[in-house]
Amino acid sequence: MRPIAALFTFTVRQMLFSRKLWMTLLLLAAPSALIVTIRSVAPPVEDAGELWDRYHGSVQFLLVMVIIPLVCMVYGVGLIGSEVEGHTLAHLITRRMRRATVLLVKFAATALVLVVLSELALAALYACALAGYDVSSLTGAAPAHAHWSPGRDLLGYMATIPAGVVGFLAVFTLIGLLTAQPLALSVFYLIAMEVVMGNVPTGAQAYTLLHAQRVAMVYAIPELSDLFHHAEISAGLHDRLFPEGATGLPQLLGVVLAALVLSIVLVTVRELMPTKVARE
Amino acid sequence: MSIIELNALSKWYGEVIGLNNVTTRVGHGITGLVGPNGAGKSTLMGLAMGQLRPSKGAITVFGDRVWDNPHVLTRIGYCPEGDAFWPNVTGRQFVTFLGRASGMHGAALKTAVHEVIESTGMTPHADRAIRGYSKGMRQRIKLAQTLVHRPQLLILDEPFTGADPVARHHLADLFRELAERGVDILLSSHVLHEVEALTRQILMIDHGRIVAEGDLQTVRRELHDRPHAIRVRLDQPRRLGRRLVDLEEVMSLRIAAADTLIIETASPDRVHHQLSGIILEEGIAVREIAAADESLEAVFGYLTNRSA
Repeated sequence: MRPIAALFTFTVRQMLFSRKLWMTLLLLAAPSALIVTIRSVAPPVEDAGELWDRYHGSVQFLLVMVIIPLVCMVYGVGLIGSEVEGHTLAHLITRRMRRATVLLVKFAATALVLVVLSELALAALYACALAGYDVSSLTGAAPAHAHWSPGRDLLGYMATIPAGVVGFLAVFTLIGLLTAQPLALSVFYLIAMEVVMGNVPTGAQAYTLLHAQRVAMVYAIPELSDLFHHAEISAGLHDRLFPEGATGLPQLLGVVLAALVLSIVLVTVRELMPTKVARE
Repeated sequence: MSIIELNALSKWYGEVIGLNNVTTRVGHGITGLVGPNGAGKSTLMGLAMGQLRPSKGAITVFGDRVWDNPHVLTRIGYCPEGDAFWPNVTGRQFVTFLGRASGMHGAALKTAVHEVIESTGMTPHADRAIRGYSKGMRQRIKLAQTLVHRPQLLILDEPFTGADPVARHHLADLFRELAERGVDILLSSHVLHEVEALTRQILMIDHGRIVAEGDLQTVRRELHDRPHAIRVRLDQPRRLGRRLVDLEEVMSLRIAAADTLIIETASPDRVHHQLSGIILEEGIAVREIAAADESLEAVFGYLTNRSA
């Protein structure tokens, strides 16, 4: 267990002392910064519905849909790729750990750091969007508002965001191992498969990771269902996409397991060595 | 007993051949893996470290497969040729982490880290970030991580690269000392005299094939199609030459310098025997008689058709 613990702590340490961390923090802080900017230039919100839309809209359409997948892409693609490029993988795979163990330990350490950072970003966004407002004293007519409990919503998000982080990290780790130029494939996947397909009003969005995460969030915060029930989606399709009692977790877990199993296979059978080194 | 065994081992990179049907064994002690750039040295080392998979054939280390086999790999210390460092770590953190990753811990790890840093001469620099190291320092800290888990076999890819003459001397002494303690070493270099100074046991590789292996002197003697050169240093090379020219065994004579005569022969033992008699008869003062082309460089040149 000691080599595993050593690699785990070393990976966490490397993440916390890397330049990439600053870029990650900037990305994760962007929704909070946007909300602060809006609050500083716009008059205070008096309608609960507007505040609800602003808070949940920025969580869903900035943090969950764009920024967290983007951060997971940066770290997932480089999980093994950066070790290959830095020639440091040779040190790791020639120690007392199997290749699959190296992958899983690095994955777990990276996922832990990203989950903590995402939760912090979520808490910061909550504070920036809702600090200074007494929700119960606001006017408003939207269905959710009578019982809106921002604290409960925050807990709902905090409970479900780790699943999305782990899911996206697993997918991008797999992409990072599939090809020598994973960035193009990752960007294509993120835009075409998640952002576009995950938002078009058809049944196809049910096959995206983003949707599985939304189902989990709707399970934790039922009022969120309204956010995704826009005009283009029929009631029947909406009910199919967000079935009663669905948690989204089996889908998320399935994606994570499939991506990790495939990644383990790739890391176990592939040489993962820069070709120019192998050829001297 | 052999440490590394290669059986009909081939490695291709697409259409490029890295190693071509190599069968050989690496035994105890220090073995020098020599060859020009692109000959296949790093490929062979990559295969021995389980970083590369054979395209054909098999390789075993300590009698076991090496690919993804931590039991074998933890008995090996590997020093890659190029830089292989994580950013933002000091030399000590680098060596300590890789010691831990090899299963070491506690006081044993601390002692081992201290010893290897000391033995590689990195103590004054160990707590500085590696990114500020000179090339020679980076090479030495790489060697320290190679040794930290006390491996039985060292695989060192160009270990002298970047080291200054003093550090090279120091490292060569360290390798000799390790070999005396029973650590087996396979080291590659294209600087032939460095290898020659460490060992007479060589594995010569060119274009992915082993062109010679074994004791350097034996390899040279087996090159029957190449005349042996004997260098004689004396004051009167012409006088000695006049006596030698009639000998049947002497193929050619060359005065290489005012005090140097080079004798080429296919039968060096017989020439040596006769040479002693002539020198005594003539009463010529001779300062040196030595083989002129039994150096690794000369043998390598013969075998790879490069000028010696």
